[in-house]
Amino acid sequence: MITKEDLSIDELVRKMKKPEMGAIVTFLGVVREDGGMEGINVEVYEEMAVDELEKLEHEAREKFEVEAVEIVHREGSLKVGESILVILVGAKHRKEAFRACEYLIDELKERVPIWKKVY
Amino acid sequence: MKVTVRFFAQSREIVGEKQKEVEIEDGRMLHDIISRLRNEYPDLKKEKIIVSLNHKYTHPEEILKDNDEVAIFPPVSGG
Repeated sequence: MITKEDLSIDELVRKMKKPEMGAIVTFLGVVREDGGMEGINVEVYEEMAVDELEKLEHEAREKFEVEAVEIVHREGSLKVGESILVILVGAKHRKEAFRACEYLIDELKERVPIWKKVY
Repeated sequence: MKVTVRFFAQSREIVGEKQKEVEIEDGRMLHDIISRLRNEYPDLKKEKIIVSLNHKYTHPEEILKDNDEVAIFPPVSGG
């Protein structure tokens, strides 16, 4: 999902949590200060990004023993310290959740049509 | 026939537009439209560009159809 709003991990956890999950691994990407910059602009090719995110979520469920996956990426102007994206992976056991989460962030950075520009 | 071409990030800055309609002869391939745009906007030749067709990554020999949506953009940098 793509959003202009701030991210609420608690809300996403509530939405995805199931009794069979023993672990929910969360990755939160944050705007990092670098060379006196103020923030970043995030541009999204929304129609394609939404499709690619759905494909990634589907792949993660096929490749790993996970129960649920949620990915939310922000767009627009984000200042240093603001959240850029969150990935949540719920699984019976932590190892599969960690592996799936790492797979998802690595693939997202390769494939999902989103661009960051520093200002 | 007519296809829509959308531009993102540096490609959008080079072209100066978010999208344009391009008239192209039937039977042309994706790479034909890319060559044409690179000739029209020579700065596009300097950048590595990625191309999608109807919201999917595809190969340059894909034949274009009327009302297709092509997108041109630099390597992605989300996350």
